[in-house]
Amino acid sequence: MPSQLISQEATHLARYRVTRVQYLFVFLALVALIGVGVTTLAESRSSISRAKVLSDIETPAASIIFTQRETLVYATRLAQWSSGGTSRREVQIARSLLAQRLAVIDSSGKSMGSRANAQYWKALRDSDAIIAAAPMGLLPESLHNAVNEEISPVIDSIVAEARNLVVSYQRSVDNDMAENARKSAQNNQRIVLFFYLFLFFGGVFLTSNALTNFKSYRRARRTLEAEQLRLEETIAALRETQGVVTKLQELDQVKDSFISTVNHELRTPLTSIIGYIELMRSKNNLGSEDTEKYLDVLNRNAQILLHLVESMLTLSKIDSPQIGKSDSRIDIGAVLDNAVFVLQPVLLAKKIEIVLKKDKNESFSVRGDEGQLSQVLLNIIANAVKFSHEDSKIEIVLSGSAKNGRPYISIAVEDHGIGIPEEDQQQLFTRFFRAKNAVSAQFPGTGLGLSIANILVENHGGSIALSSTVGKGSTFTITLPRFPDEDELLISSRRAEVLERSIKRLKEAHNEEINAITHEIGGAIGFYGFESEGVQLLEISRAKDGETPESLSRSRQSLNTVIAQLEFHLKALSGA
Amino acid sequence: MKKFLPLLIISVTFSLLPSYAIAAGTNPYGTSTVDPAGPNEIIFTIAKGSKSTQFATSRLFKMKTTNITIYEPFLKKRQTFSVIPISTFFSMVSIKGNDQVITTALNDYVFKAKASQFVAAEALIAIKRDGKEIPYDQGGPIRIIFASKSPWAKYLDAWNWSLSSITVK
Repeated sequence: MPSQLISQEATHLARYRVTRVQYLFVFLALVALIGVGVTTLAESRSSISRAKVLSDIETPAASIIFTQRETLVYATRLAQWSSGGTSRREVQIARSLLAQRLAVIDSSGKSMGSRANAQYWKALRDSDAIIAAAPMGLLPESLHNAVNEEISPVIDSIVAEARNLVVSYQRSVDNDMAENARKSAQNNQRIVLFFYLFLFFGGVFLTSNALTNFKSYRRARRTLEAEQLRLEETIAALRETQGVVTKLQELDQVKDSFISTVNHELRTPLTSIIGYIELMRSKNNLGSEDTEKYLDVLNRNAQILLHLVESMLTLSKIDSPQIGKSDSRIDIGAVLDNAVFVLQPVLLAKKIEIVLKKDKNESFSVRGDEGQLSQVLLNIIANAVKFSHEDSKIEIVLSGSAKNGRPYISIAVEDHGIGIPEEDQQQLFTRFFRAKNAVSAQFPGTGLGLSIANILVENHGGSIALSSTVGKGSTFTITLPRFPDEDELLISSRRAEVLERSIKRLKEAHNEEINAITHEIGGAIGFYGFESEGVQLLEISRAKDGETPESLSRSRQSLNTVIAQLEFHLKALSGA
Repeated sequence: MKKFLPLLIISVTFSLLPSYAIAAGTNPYGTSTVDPAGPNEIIFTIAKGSKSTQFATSRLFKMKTTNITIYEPFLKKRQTFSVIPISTFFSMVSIKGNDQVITTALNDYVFKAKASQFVAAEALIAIKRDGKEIPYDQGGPIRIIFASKSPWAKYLDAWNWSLSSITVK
């Protein structure tokens, strides 16, 4: 699947989602919330209405209290009047004030008078009739007994019926209050019910929605991880391609440089040869001395050409992928002895002594091509001879060494010649490069010998190191992997297995597994001699303290670096 | 059906009687009969310390009045009263703002407040209703009322019926 489509899928999955069922729950929660609001509003309006009634209008309590009060005042005035204690007018005023009170409409919307029963009205009318029949002003003493007798039961009846009236009204008010309280309680129950429904539907929505989106998030995360791995693979492939392209470009440059240099290197001796041939033709009587001299020049130039052609052929073989090296067990000590033997004439001519130091009890076998390794040693030792002064020594030390748990053989060739300027040492292994002091001192050479030697040694899994001081001499140290014995082969095989398995697991590790796997493999490969990579893996496992995108990216980058190093070791082990 | 018709008419008539009576300006629960006061009988007294002024009906009716229509909160209807500002009576006996004023009704109902509060509420003494004397059974002969815009328009405790005196404590 293209990355763009994966990204679209991940983006789609990562979007906030609400399902149809969840929309239904949201709707129900909103309905419940509206229910809470409406019921609360209704209850609030009812409360406000009740409060307004109590504050703005005559209350039932006031009606009851004042009705009782006016009734008692009227009854008192009647009693006083019947005993001559007050005038008829005062009684009539008290009766009028009672009538006024009975006409007041309170918060119930009715007056107390409208609530009174027939007995109450009869008692009042009886009292009205007795008063109306009496004379104005104070009641004459002669009438006291008769009026008293007549009015007393009426007064009792008025008081008793008034009490019945207010008690009845009070009960009615109590019932109204109880009804209001019941309605209020019902409203409150509805509010609580709607609120719980809101909580329930809202809770169901939130929970299910969180689950839905969490699942989407996890799927999106897995998709993105897959995409990340794919991208990393693509980047690695691109880098590899880029490396190939760069190498090809370098090779192209080398080819151009090679052609240019070869053109120059071939032209110089050829020009000299042609010049001397023309000179010999132009002279009719060449003496034997001149002839010898000219032939010597021609021979030397021909030798240079021959050496140049041989070197180029060697380079051609090295660069050609079709021609590989043989892969046999080589005794490097024997190769070294042979090289010294071949160079004996030159050594004798310059009176140079070769001092060879090696441990006779130790095996110095390597895996490779005898011809190529022979050429390497010939090139290095021949250079040492060429740049050494006459009557000097060249020391060659053959020893064993180890690197990353693997056994190596070192061949150090030390001369006491002109040395190599420091600024030329970096480019010394570049094709056709020659040190300035070698050129100025007219030492013969093509600038190909060290380049060829370096390539051949690298092809054998080794390297050439150089240390040199101008005027004091140079030391070239060739390091090559030693041919392993049976035990070493077994260990090497085991290490390769461990490496292969570790690389596979590290490559397949998901982000959430990096911590555990790097910790486990870090310890294991350290045991098998890959201490540096083991430490790096343990650092990755410790550094992964949070699953932020940045920390994951850093861990993944570090892990890829370690995997590349382990692959290099595996390749080296496989070639051993 | 026909024999129940007169009974129905009587029942309806009786049930409508109170509201009809109130609308007609009479109290359905009263007698409308109170013996007249003497020609110089004092019906209202205002006093502060040694200063005192007494009013018979004739003196009150000679005072300058204005008419005001209000929503009567006890009977729940609009009524027009002839009124005198209470401040006019206060000035007669030098009642000042901080004086604690006591209004007393014929039935001995008492309401107390500072004179400044009465003035701020624009309390009015009503002496007539619809151009006629106010019956005793409808809060007469004089009573305290408040305009609809007054802060005490709905403060019913201050609406003193059948006012008999105003004194200062």
